[in-house]
Amino acid sequence: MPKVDISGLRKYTVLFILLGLMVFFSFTSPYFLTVRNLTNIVIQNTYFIIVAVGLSFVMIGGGIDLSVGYQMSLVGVITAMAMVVYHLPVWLAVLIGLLLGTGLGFINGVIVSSIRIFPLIATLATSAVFQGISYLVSKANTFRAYPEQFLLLTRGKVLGIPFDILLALVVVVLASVVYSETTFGRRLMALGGNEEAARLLGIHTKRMKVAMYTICGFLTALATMVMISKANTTNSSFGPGTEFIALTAAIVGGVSFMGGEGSVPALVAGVFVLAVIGNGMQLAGWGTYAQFIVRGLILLGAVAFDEYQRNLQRNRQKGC
Amino acid sequence: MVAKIQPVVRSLYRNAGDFARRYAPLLILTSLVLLFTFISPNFMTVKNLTLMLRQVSFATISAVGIMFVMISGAIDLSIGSQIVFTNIVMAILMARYHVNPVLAILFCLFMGTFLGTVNGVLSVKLQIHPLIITLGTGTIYKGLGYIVANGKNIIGLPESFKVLGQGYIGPVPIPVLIMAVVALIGNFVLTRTYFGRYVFAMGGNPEAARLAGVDINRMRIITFAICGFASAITSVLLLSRVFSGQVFTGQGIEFDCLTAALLGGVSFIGGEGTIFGLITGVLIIGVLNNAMQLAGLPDFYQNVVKGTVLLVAVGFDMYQKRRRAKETIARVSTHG
Repeated sequence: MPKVDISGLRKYTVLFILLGLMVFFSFTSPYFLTVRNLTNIVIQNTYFIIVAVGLSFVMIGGGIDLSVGYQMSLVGVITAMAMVVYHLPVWLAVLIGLLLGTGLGFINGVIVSSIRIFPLIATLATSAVFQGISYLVSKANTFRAYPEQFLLLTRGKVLGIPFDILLALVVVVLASVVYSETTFGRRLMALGGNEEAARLLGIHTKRMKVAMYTICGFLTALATMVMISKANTTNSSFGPGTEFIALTAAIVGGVSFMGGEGSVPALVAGVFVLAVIGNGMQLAGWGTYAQFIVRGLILLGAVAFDEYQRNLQRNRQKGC
Repeated sequence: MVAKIQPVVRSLYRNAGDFARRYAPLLILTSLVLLFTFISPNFMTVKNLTLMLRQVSFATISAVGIMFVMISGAIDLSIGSQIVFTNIVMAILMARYHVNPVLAILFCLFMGTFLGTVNGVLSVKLQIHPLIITLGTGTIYKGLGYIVANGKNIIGLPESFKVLGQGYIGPVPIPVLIMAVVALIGNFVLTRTYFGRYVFAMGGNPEAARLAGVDINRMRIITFAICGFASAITSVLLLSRVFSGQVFTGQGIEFDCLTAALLGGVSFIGGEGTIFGLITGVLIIGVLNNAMQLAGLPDFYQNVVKGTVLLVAVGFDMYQKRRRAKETIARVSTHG
């Protein structure tokens, strides 16, 4: 019996999964399929989308960044302190935060590309460092009551649509354009697909790696702004754990763990798959910790599926 | 003349590199100990050193386990979560169901071995890098631990259970003794048995090992099971030390184990490592932690230092690997 070829459906698998989950949860809870709940799901996940897009740059380039969670923790604390403790103008505080995040990503990029440590270990180590610095700076304090202007980021609306949704939309559209229309995007895919080949093609692989981690750092910082503005409070424990959700969402959304593949719409669908599961499980009263387990299972399942697809492709290439 | 000297100088260099590689951890440890002896009068006391040894003993036992996995060319990031899960289950067995401590310990060891085996089987079946596998299973184990604990600290453990983590035999804390036994057994298995040689072989070159008749898949599962077993021992000792079942026990311990192993010269890519080096690595971290505590620095500094130390350790490991690769290429190309 020939193996079923599902690679053509690949693009839409995530969407099918998303729809299936929505149908499932609309049966388990009457509150799930209400406009209000669905709007909530979207609003609560704008910053996850931005982080996941950032992480996708790194993953498509064949790397990984486990430090985004503690990048958020550090950037959030510094931005909040700039506003609340030092009373800097909002634009300056946001600028500092964004620059800091970009800098943290840059550091990751330099470490990964020049010391050439396996990115998982390198970013695990930098995340411990970021965590330490974050707690040192915040002295484990919680900061709240941001200036009105900063809250506008998530409370302001244009044509009835919250700013942060528009922001996420802009990030998504820009990233899609970068991936599909620019040389940078194509080089990134080439780098992730086969680093040696990319190098021989004349792609400056070191510079590309620094660039993708820097982009990830910038977008992570942007997401941090949304996260702390939405919460109107922050401390050093805000952010950690995001890396796991973003990573899982990216893999569920078809961004290959081995690099070289990924599409932004599927990635967004991946974020919503996780969001819907979280929301649905909460409405069904299954508790927060059960979500740990489901997320772990989903991560393993998605990676396994990814690997299965690769094997299919490899076999087909051999067959030719 | 110059031509004659050159190879001598080159081999001297190479030997100096090997020397640095082999003894760098020991040199670092010695200089740290000397440094802190001068800085802090409280450091070089029997009491402090005993306390420090007991502190590191828990992570060391897990580190011996992760060493098997690392030498075989894999990695296990789920150790901390395994401990969270086994720790809570064992506490509940003893406190709520009044299971005999010996039985509870046996169950915990069995359960840890099982969790490790699951990691191994998944790595073999899914053929994904064990880093991602154990990141996933780690979340699952931790989630299970939280669910079982149900938001409570589990108290009311039998008094007789206290001795393992808190007791002494003569002047030596029991966890330190257990650590020594585990390290000796680990050393024996790695250096004196066929099994140990297979572990090195598959880490150095899996394909060559396979062709030489090593059952890579079975070995992968067994090394992960060993790692789970070792972490279960840590879990038993930690529960006895903390003396209440808490979900925070053991979290993040994989980071210490990994750093200690890398510091002590266990290669991240596999195929290399000695128990002696591992112990040195553990002690470096122990001394650093201890000195920072004595100096009254908050815990957060430790994270910064640990992360930096980990980066330096991996960086050094990679540097050595590349240097040796270059030398081999140079040697092969000059001698035809």
